Amino acid sequence: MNNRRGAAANPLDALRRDRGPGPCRAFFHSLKSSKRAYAVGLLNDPKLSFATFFLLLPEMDGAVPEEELSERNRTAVRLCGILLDAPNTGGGAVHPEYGETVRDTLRWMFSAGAEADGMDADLDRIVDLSACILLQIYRDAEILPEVVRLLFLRNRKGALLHDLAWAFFRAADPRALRVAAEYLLSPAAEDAELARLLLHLPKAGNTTREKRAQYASYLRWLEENRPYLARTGESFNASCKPNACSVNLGAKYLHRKISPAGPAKPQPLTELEKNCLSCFAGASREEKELLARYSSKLREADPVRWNDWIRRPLNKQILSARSGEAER
Amino acid sequence: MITVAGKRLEPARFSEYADGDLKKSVLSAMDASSRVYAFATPEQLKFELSLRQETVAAAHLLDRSGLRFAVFRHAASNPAYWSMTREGGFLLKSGAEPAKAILDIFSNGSAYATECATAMMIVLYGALVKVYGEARFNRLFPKIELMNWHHLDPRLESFGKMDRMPGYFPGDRRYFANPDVDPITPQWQGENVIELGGGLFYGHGIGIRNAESILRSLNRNRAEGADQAAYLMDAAGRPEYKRLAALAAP
Repeated sequence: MNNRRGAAANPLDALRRDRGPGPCRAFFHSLKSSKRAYAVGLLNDPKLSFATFFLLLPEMDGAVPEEELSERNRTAVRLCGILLDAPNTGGGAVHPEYGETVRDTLRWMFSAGAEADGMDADLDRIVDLSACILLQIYRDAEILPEVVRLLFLRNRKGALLHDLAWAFFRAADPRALRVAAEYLLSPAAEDAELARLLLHLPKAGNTTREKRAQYASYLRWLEENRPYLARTGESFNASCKPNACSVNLGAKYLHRKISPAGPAKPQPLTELEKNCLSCFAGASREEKELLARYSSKLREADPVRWNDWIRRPLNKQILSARSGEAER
Repeated sequence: MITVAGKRLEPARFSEYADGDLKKSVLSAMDASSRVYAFATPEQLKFELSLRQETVAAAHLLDRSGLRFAVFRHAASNPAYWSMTREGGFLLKSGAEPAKAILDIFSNGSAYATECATAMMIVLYGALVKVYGEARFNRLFPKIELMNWHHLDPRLESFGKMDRMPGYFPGDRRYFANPDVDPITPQWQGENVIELGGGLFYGHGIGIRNAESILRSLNRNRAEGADQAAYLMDAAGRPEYKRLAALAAP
């Protein structure tokens, strides 16, 4: 997040934050006539917040030639045009060249734009789309905690979180799930409710003890299944109760780690793994869950025993899994 | 197979409906299924058939209504009946008659703009007005908020959930997913549709088309370098017909 206060703050940012968008715009309007070079210098200040820059875009139009802007600002002007025009293109939207400059500019647009969430509907849309591009094109998971924070902030205000939520579900990243889980402990009922919705958890009581129990249980689940989570592709567009990711039971059974984003191709299965998976496919849902859970725990605790167990016929595996589970 | 009060409904009984009638095609599809579709009473079955028929009729009507497509931030509604929420949803105004407010969307569509999921709820409410009649509908649904799959009346929640079914019939809510959507246009992330029968679907903004044509549109709006094609999900959102039938009893 950009610096919000302090002596070094850009005067345009300070004015917008302290007195609001109108006075900030009016000040820049008079400045561009009286002290043009200073006005352009303030715009090109690397510390300037994107929220302020966006607010002043109409003032720049025709008054500040593009070549006088910094590379970041020129890129931002172009991106804003593309993103705001996209809903009207009826498909076939124009695309920027997805390089490093665009990525860095999008990061600035997202994090510094989110600072002024709710100031302007178009700014909010640009912030959301920046997050979508950073996550989908650049796989930039570093912004996920901020995406989650913004989701909960919007939810408290009753504001639109549709596209941000899509970005969250699209990423299905365990780090983001963990950050969202923190909100299960929030004293605000609407936070806990949204956290349950994002994490696909059932309703729970609102006492501190019940919230802590649900949080602890979810973290245990996440810890156990994290390497085997697969993205489902669900979102609020398709369902009122979407599930960001589900456990790939076959992978858990074989102790094969997968990535929910899945850009890397997995290693091909060995003959043993293929045979095991073929037998596993014939098991019931309950048996699959049992086998996957038992296999994962046994592999962690005693790889040598696991190596023996996984080679047994499936019915023998189920028997030992049942007795092993019962002993626990 | 269909059973009513524990007894198999013989296909000969379908003759009360004309060939080509949507109700008859639903009955025939259920009958041909290996799954048993069990109804406690004939009224339960008739209610489901009627609601399915009215859902399809409402989808056709909404398609011709002039309802515009807009992303939620640019959604619009007729202020005579609805106020806009900060999310871009439509909230029934206090004092407005629910049935008239719903029917206004169908007759005065150009005053409204929204995304595809909200349109599905409008279709369902439009169908419910027809099957219950305006007076009963007004009693049953005095508060309505139309916003995607949020704020659903608990009695209609299953329409907003996607579950895998052994078979799909006209009146089902289906979903074409576009997992590698272009992030600049997330409104193309998927299309909510009503299955109309005859291989056709209604989706708001996309119109009435077959699956192939819808998939083509979605695939045109994928991210650069996308490797996953759009597809029709093997799932449906379906209202709890039996629960809703109980609300129709005198």
